[in-house]
Amino acid sequence: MSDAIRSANDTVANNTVAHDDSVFGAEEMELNFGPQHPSTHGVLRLKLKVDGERIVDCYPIIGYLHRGTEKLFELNPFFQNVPHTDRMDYVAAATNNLAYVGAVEKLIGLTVPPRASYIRVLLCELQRISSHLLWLATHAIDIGAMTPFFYCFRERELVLDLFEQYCGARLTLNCMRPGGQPFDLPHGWVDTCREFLELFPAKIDEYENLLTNNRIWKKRTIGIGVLSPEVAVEYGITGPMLRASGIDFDLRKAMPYEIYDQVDFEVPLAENGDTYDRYLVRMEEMRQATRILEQCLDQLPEGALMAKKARVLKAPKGGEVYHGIEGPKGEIGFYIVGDGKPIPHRCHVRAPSFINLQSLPELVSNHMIADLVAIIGTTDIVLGEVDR
Amino acid sequence: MSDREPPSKPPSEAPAETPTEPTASVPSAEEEAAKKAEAAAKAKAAAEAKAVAVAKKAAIEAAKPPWERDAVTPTWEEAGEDPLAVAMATKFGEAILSARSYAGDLTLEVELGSIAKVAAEFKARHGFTFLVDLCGADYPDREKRFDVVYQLHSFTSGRRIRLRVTTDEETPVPTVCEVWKAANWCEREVYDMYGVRFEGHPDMTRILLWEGFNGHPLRKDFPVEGIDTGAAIYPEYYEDEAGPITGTGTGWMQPKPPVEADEEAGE
Amino acid sequence: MSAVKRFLDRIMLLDLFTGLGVTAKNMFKKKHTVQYPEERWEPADRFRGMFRLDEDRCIKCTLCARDCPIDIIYIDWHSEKNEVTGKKQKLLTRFDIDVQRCMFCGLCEEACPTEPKSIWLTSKSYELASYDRWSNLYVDMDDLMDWKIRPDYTDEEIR
Repeated sequence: MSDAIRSANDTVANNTVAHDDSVFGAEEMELNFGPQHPSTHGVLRLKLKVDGERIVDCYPIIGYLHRGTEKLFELNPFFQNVPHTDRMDYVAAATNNLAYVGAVEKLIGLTVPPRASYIRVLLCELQRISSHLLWLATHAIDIGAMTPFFYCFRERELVLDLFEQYCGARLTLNCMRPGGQPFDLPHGWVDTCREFLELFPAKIDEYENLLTNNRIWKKRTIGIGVLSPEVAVEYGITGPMLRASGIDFDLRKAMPYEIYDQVDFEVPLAENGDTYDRYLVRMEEMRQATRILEQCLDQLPEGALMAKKARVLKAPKGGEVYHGIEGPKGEIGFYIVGDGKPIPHRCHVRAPSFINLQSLPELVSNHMIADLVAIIGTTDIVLGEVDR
Repeated sequence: MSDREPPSKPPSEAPAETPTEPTASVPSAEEEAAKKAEAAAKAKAAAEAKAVAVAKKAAIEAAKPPWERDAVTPTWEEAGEDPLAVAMATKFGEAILSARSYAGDLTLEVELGSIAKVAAEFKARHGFTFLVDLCGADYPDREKRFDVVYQLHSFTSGRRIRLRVTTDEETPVPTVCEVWKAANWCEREVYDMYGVRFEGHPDMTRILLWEGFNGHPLRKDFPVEGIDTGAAIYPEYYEDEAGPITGTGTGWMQPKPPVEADEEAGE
Repeated sequence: MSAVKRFLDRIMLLDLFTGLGVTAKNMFKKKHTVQYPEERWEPADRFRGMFRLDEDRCIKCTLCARDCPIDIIYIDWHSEKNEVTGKKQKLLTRFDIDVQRCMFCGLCEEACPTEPKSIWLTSKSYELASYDRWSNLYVDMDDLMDWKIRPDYTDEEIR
């Protein structure tokens, strides 16, 4: 064991520490916003250089939740990797599943039956609602508004009940397979879903009554963490963060996958790119998700659920694809390389939270520490995805 | 293949037209010629019938909806005529090593030293202002075992493109951080997982693993169980035969204290 | 109108009162919490809880072990001659599941080819806690077949 530590110490000497910790102004202080902190939404460590309460510099250190998922992907056949994908963005498991199975289907050339496609979109939009509800709950409670937390979780229970009736789990769903869906909708699921959709818009109005015109909320969020469109594109940011800065890019409209070209919805945009705009964009996305769900339930066809011989197909040798979908946090994509076996040779995850978190030092500069909490909340990161 | 063989062949052969042969008599030249003509006619008829059957099967197959047919696996196609590939080839010449496309995604293979210039050209001239993803891959059978893959997106044309660079363990890759800031952490991750260094990167340190980690985990020769953990350093907790029937994994940890030193020979 | 309204808004805190009205309305509504352990929340039919095994239905094909993404199912079987029928049959020596790593994904249940399934996760039990560290971490064949579906925590406390 001492050999291992000795060789590890050699590696430390070889790793040049490029981030210069030694240069501090006369009144600056280093503050560690440690990995164990209730407002970081996971294990995120930030090394802050602060001048009083104002942040001068911020250096994020991640990797506390690194589980080697990409290495684990290389061990199992394609359909067995779906539970691993659940656990990356554990708040929005259905969209992770969809990105993975979509990439596998593109690699192998499978076509999915329409009923399976509609069920997938149903699950993904429900997942979008659930993820945004959790985002709103935690963001509000970080800023100090405790009431939305309880109300959002109350509605989220209804969504999680729907998931449980479909696939048996509430959080780590494992609800899709390459080639289609493993199970059909149970009896009464469509009716329960319609009941939820009838009561949900009133609930969104309730959250908006609590927050949108509230002066305290506005003072805490307007002008905080402004992200200009040029900077957003430079940093590769996707999702509601990009759309709140004014760039109209939503993969459901730009590169439609599954049956998104057959449903009618709008993509909310905002102009200023601050925290308040991101809040408005996500609230409107929940309403649009309700709209998509209603249309899907109306258009749901009958038919098969699984493509033919989906389980035994092997990936072609040397074939590689990248397939991205619009998850609630941004573009989640998979880059899969096949090598003639049913096991992928390389499976890389393009995690939106990882890429979005890179912009944190730029968003946070010259703000107060209390605003840092608001900004971390508005980037909507899930550390499972950041660290994989 | 004569028609006289019994019709117990696989279906790809001629459909069963059991030939009835006349009983053996002394064949004269005319009879032989007649037989040959007959055999030729039968072979032709058999081939035609086979073609008809194949066409009928294809028609039934085409009438099925796409998810009931066999999967049509995409293949690599040459994409040298693609206007983007042509534009890049005229500007950079030999730096663009190949242009292929798979399942509709154009992939350009770029020479190692010029990736930063090619990336800048894509961004400035062709509107690929958005770096979607940057990742690495390991092909241990090749001499240049590591791949660094860039996925780009253009808002103006809505197009996606993939660039690839190959390198080995020692040669660093020029960084594209000045072109797209999104590459910063992605390149650190490639360094962390594969050991590929990026020249000119502002902060070339490990990102997902702690600074003193030994090794580069996503390389194919790095074991899944790890080299400084588990069975490697606590052998007494892991049985020899522990493990499932498929043989992967390290087994399970038993709630028993470590074996006494004097019971193990020489430990 | 808007300037006056804005002035009144600022002085009389109307936006804050809207929020307070929402909370006041919710204060008198039915509560959604379940008072566990007196009330137990019933999972859905397809809920993936603790698994159970039925050895008679099992045909020892080991497909479940092959499909497990983390390889935690350990199966050993041997052939024995059945005295009654005189034919050779497979018997299970070992069917263990390492519960400390199981993620209850349900792939083993999906792989099982028998009808009804020989390993199934829908035992609707999610109460797997115990008071000591080593029980319920590694479940062998006998436990799997006789898994008690609803352990009564309330009774244990009384005892």
